[in-house]
Amino acid sequence: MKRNTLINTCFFLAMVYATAQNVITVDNSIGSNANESDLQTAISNANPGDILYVHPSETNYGNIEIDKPITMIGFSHSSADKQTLITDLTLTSNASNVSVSGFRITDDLFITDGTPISNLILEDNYFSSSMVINNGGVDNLVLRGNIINTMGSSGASASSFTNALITNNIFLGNITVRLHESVTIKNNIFLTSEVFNSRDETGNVTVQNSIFIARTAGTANANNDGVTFENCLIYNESTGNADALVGTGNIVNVDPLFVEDNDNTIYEALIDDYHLQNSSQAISAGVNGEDLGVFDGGTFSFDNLGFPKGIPTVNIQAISTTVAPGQNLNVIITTSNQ
Amino acid sequence: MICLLLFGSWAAAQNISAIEYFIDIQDPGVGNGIPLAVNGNAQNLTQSFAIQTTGLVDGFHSLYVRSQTSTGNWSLYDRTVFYITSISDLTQSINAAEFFFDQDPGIGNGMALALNSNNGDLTQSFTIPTTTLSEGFHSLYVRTRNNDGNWSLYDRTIVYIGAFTDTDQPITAAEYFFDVADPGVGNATSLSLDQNNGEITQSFALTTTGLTAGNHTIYIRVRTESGLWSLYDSASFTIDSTAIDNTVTVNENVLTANFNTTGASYKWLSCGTNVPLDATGRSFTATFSGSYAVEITFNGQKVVSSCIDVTVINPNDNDNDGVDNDMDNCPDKFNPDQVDSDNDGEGDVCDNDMDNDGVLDTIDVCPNTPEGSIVDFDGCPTFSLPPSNFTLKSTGESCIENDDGSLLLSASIALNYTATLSFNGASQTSSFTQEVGYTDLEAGDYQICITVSGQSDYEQCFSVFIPEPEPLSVSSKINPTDKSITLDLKGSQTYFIELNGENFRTNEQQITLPLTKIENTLNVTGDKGCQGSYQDILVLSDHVVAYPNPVVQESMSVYLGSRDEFKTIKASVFTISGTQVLEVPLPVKDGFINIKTAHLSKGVYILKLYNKTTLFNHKIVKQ
Repeated sequence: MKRNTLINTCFFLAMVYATAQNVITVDNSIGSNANESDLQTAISNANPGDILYVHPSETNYGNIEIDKPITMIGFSHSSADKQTLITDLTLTSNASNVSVSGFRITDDLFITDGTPISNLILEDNYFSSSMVINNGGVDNLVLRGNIINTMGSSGASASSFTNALITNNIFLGNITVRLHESVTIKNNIFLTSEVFNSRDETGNVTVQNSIFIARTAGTANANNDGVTFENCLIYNESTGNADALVGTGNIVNVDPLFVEDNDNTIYEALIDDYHLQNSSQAISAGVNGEDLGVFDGGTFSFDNLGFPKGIPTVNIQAISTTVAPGQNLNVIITTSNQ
Repeated sequence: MICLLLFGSWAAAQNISAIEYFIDIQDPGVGNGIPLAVNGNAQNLTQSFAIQTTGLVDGFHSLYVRSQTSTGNWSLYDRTVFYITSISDLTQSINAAEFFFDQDPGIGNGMALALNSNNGDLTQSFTIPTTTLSEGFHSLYVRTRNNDGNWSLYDRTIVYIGAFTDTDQPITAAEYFFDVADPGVGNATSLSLDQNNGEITQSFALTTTGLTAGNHTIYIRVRTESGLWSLYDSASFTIDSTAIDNTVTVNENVLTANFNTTGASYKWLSCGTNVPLDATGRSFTATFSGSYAVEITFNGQKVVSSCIDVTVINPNDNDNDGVDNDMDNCPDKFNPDQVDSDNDGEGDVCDNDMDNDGVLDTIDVCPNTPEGSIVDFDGCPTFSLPPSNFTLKSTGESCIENDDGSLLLSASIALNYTATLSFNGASQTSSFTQEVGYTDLEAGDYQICITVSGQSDYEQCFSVFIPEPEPLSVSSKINPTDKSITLDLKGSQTYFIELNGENFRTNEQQITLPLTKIENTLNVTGDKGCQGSYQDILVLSDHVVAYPNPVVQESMSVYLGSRDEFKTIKASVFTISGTQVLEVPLPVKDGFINIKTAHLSKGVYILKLYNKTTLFNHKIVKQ
């Protein structure tokens, strides 16, 4: 398989811990011979710092609870033929120092109420439903390169994340910030979605270098109390206009000229290409002259399909399905870096 | 200094004759305070004073004030409290900055940052080293200090330090295992990979010795040079003696599958590249050198042949990639796919500047710069704006020296701009986001330069001229022959001409009008009243005429009667008693000379005009 690589050259984050690590393969597809077939069992058997390679499968791995510092690497969230699926992903009080990438979470992500966890890295995942981050929440959160439906809510405890770097994501639903201090929201794309600040009385949350795409016959308005925008762009794909964003350096109702968005506000991983066309006004329009949007001018390799960064892929391109006894098995593979 | 507003009203019609004050100290007694000068008054007095506070320390103080009537009676004092404090200068510079990670070392003990010069308002970018930081989350703190030595509170942001590597690193290892439980990464049977730059298609002929007849699964995974393993890919196969023949016969560059049964389908594959081959026959003719295999499907079986190396000699195809040199976008390097990602006509395998920014990929720090970007020497985008971003509209002065010209500078992209308008060595600076205007400008050459906040390397300058109308200029030439005058006009769009009471209007710069009298009055104005008017008296005669006569003005014009043969003429003025009071050669212009009469006393004089052969005498009167 030749993966549809969006950026030829990029840099990636290798999630390698300094402590001794074991790579544990997990595969629940029928007939597989991975180290583990059940992901929850694999987590139970894993030692802190272990890396779980969770192979793609037609069978959803189900509701998964992480209660220790581990790294979980899936295959892809939107590859045309292979995905690694989880229903609910729950992180409990002992789930600090956890990295999760390459998964499609078909339902919710929960951070359980209780002792706060820290150092959570979520990259290249597709969160199909809600991200509910309860008290005591997450301190130190990297949320990057994901497709996110809804993050947090106006409820008192559903948005308990602090010291968060929320960058280079595509939001399909709203994000609600409660503890706005030291939360960075930068270079995201919001498809008919907005940013809310549930505690605007304590100050503003600032959104930078992001693109808001609305689709309404009325006037699109992404402004909310306690939210300011720096060098963002809002565009109404429909016939309506768009109100100016509150803040500085913003661009109002100008088409960002994505390479391809299929003329809709639906995320279509195999069709959409959120690179900017050369004539886009979003180029060099950022806070420090960066590009707006998820690619950040090429400094970030956003992957529509959600392959984990830094993990190579291998694909058996051709193989004999029947081999005579003693005959060699001819196999052709294709492999590439992300 | 404090200002005091004092209001008083005394009965019995007594004036306020003295006022005194003292600050803080014990009452020195009436008449012993510091006097204040009192304005004239009639019983009531309201007056303000500026009282020096020099020498008073910061803090609370009391001001006591009392007044005295003209009869000598002192009022009780009035007292008010005021506060002395230093006022910080808002324009004082920010002269120091420091940063630290994670733990506050105390004010002044952080790592210093070099600041640009400023007037209390500064935006500046820094490159902060992170080499000492461990992988993981860190907080960056920054604070600044002003010229008074006061430190700001710090600002903080979260950063994540990770180990970064690039995607071009080779994939250096591969391994496979059959059926058994995963032996763990690095513990399976290794495969040798060809050299690559992070992407490769390769074939293997794996021995199946020891595998029993029946169904089996193969698992294959790879590892990058830095040690990161892929997830495995797997495929099922069957060991069966009924396996169809997967061998191939080679005849030069023609490959033929030996299995030849009705119903079989064939798909030819390239083993070295991921380029699909559009060949589905039993035989395949290789057009370029390479390694090929065939996938045969028959009756539910699918077999793949071994890969077979084929060398194709084509003198018109240097790199044997199947594309003739004249059509090859990289004729000396094998690239049968002809991939040209940047559509610059040069195949990717040859292209040493993939982003076409003029900086070779080997030294390009930003090798994926968007097309059309302006880049620095490292190949990274520098800030730029479209050439059409700024619009400068100028309006000239409405009239000479009205100083009411204007400029309007507009930007299509809203940013935090600073515009500096310079003229005659002076300049003024303005901040704006989309539009800034300048009014009351005098005529001249201006330069306006625009910078953008946070983009220290960006400056765009324009030169613009603020015009002013020309002064009204009229020159006339009398044509005695046809008794007309030709006027050359400048300085206006439209000219209004009044000649002997008759009005003419023209938009032309030259007009010829008839002269109907000996002495003709001319008045010309433009369409701007501020340009003034041109007035003249035009004399059309064959005789010498001096006018005005009598003369009360400082000069007298003498028309020589269409004698345009004179270039110069000598003029002498005598009193009636014969005393010469003036003798001067004068130039003749358009038949006229001009004689200054300011020094002549009132009286009657004889004007003599003569050249070598001609003499005229005229009596003139100075009034």
